[in-house]
Amino acid sequence: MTIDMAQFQLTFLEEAAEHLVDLESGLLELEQHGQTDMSAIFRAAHSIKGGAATFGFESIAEFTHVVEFVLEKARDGELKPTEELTSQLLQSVDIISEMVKAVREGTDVTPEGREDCLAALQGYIENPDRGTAVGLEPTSTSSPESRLLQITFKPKPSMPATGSDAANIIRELANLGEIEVSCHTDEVPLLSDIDPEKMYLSWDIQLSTDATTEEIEDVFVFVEDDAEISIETRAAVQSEQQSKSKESETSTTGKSEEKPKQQINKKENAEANKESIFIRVAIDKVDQLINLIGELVTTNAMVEQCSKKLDADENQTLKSAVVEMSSHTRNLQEAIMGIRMMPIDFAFSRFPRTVRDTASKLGKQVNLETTGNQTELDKTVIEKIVDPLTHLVRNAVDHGIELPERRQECGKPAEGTIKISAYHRGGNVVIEIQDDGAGLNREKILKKAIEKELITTETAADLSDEDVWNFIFDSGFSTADKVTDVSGRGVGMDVVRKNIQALGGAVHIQSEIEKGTCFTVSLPLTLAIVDGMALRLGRETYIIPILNIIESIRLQPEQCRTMQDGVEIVDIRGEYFPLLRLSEVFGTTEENTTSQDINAGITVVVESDQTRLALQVDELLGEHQVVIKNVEDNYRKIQGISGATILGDGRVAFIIDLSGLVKLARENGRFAKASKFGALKMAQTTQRQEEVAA
Amino acid sequence: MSKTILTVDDSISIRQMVAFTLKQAGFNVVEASDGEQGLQVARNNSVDLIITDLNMPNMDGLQMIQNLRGDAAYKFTPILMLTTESDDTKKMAGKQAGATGWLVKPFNPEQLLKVINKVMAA
Amino acid sequence: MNQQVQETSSNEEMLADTVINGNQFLTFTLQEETYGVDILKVQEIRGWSEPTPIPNAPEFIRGVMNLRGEIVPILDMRRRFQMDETSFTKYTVIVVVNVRERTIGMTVDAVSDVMDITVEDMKDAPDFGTSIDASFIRGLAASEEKMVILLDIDAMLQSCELVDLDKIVEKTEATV
Repeated sequence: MTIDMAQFQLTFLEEAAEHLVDLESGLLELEQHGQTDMSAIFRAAHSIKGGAATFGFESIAEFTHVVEFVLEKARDGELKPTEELTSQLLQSVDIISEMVKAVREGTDVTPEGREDCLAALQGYIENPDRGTAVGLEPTSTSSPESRLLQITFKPKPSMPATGSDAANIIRELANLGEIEVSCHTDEVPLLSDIDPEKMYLSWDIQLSTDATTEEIEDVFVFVEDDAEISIETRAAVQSEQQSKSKESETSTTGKSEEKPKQQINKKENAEANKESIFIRVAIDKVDQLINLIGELVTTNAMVEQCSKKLDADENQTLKSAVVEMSSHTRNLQEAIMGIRMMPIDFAFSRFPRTVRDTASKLGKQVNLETTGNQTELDKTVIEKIVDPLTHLVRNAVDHGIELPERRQECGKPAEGTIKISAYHRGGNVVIEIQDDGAGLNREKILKKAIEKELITTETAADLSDEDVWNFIFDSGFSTADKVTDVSGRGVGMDVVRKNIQALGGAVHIQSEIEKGTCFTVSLPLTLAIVDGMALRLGRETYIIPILNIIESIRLQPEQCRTMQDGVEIVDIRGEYFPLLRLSEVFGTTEENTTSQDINAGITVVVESDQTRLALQVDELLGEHQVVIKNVEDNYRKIQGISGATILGDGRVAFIIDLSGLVKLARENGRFAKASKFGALKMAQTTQRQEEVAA
Repeated sequence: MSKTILTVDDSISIRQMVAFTLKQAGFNVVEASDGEQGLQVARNNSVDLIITDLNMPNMDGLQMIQNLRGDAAYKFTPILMLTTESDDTKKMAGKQAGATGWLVKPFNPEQLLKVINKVMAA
Repeated sequence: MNQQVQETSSNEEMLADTVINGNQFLTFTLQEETYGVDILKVQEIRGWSEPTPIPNAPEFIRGVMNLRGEIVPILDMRRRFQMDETSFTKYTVIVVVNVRERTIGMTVDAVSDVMDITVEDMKDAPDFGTSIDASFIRGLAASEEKMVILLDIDAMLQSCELVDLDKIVEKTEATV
């Protein structure tokens, strides 16, 4: 039988990644508290090694073997887990991770520092036995020739206790050639003295075989300590003779072949196993399910709509069946969506390491607390949010938490605290990253914003704190006095916000000087479904994600004014927002009912990229949970549109992408071209001029 | 009726490979992820052979074997242990706990079936 | 350069199709002319229903429709070939084609027939001097006194800005 090992390799790689997380968190705990469950981390390394060797990843097996060996010594108290050793082990975890990643991605890269790390680890152990992990047991090469062997097999009475069955051994010998067996019963005691669990028989076997001596010995490999065995070549063609016996017996008396019967009363338990057993399913199967349930939800909505039109009395049965079907469909949808849900701990478990590395590099003391680790959200969302969150955490250590001396000067404990928490709110997951550091410096940010000509000195004073904080999400905006190694690399805050928004999420900042900063990231539970507000524009329906909507309001004409450059501004309770007439931006004016008349339609105040704006639409149709469909499968990207969904009547409705919409409006000259605060600024200037005039 | 084999390993990939191989060879397979679960599964099923890893959380392989040997139903059932250590101390410890034989990791499906054949009549 | 590569490959494809896959064409009419597309590219034929217009899309893209849960763009072939507009009737059909792993609908006046066209029947397309870009035409075929213009829908859809340009480049590079 040939079995393709490749099918298990993927499982192994996933599993290895999980073991690596355990390994890492164990080592971090060891470093912080001086102790951890050493057996657990040893086991993690052990499992990686075993799997790697089995599934053909020799270099991972080889490297991990050394790591395992060091861990074993540490577990058994032979090695002291010094800070230096822990660091070295953490580094080796990184190297294994990289090797696993390289295999997964099919790149053939040897991680940097592998050899150095290996050498350093070997320094901890005098004699690392690297050979045992890799390679199969050696097979014999001696040339087999047909010969007659005389074999004596005398099990100890205790042999059955290890589950060995003499009959199996004799059967195996019989497979190797022609066999003649005689059984000795002379040691069988009187019936009254017989212990049925003991073995009293022994055998003489003549075997005519061309099997090698090793092969013969191999038959007895499990019982060599439980029996007296001798193998002698009788009709020797070869002079080679090997004997394992301590004593040799060749007497023959009995002929009957008996063996103790195993008396096994097995409990027939009809009850199935109660253990929670996981199955691993390819992600595309789950995605297919999600797609199918999406179809079902849509079809269900169609049926619902049709049945509403039917006469209630005549179609009572049908109507109640439809109601029931709808409820089943909803439950089914929830259950299927649940499959993709994972605890956010998969992301959180990375942060202890991030905090540790960043803090030690900067000479800071930081304590990390996480809560809500079991909060569940979509696997894809988790995978995509890890990097932005990591950046925020690193940022909190770098820019938030002060150096120990500085903290003490401020009367704070030398050790800073970063709290990361996750919880559900409505249809969203909220993740907060809070530090008790220096807080954001309004003056410093404003100075920088003025330098970068995002605002003018005059308008600076009118900006709310949140507006000011949001500047740090602008590209190329760094308030650090000097670019550190930590903050200097990788993505910037602008990318963080962009990535969060790409997931349909949002990020907000609260900050108080000397008290600390809190980043609040809210994310949808899943990418496949969005809570949307359906709105009418001419004859078409569009969807806006609820997350983006601040409020909807019916405006009076006097609340609206047009600026010099044609940009419209609306005044809502003293706040000014640029107004976008959606029909104009989307070029659907000809069938529109509200092109000029501001109070005929309705205005929706929305927020995107931390910018608020007012959207003029014809009518709001109500909230819907919609299944997101990709438009780009068969078409290209549509600017201002993030996707589409299928309405109850089977027609397609587009889902609006607000940041794309703003970009589109800017290109069309319907929105202030300069900066996002341009319109605001002008509005406020106009207001002042009027006040002066009055 | 085909024989039932219990495979106990905390590594899903190894367990998957073992289970797949055994099923291909026509055995029934039940699985457990550590010694504790292994005991439970063994006691809730009628198992003809057990293949177990040694290093596992909660209850390791040796302890599980010892426990099983105390059960009347599993006094003589063949138990194979998987071990990465080819050194004899582990094997001895296993034998003392009551293991029938061992299989050194890494192993391939052919080797696995060969060893099973050794300790259990087909 | 990419354009050239594209043409060569679609010519080769054409020959291969003709030789290996037989030579059936679905024919349809547009303003009294008969056109044909390789039947292997045709997924299905549907009746007309009003699609959802795409914001800021070219005129000849009527919008998108829901085809069993898939969002499929609909091309108005009369508009594409700059012919006179007609109102859609009960004979108006949408020919759904599969091109380069995309599903696209085309509105035509009416579907006529499935025709066998052999290599011998096929002639090179002359430069029509009509509204139809010669690069969309694989050839002409005379059948039962009727002239059929065989369309190269790959080339045509590519010119329809249905896909982002960078994606075309990507795909072309991948096929080279």
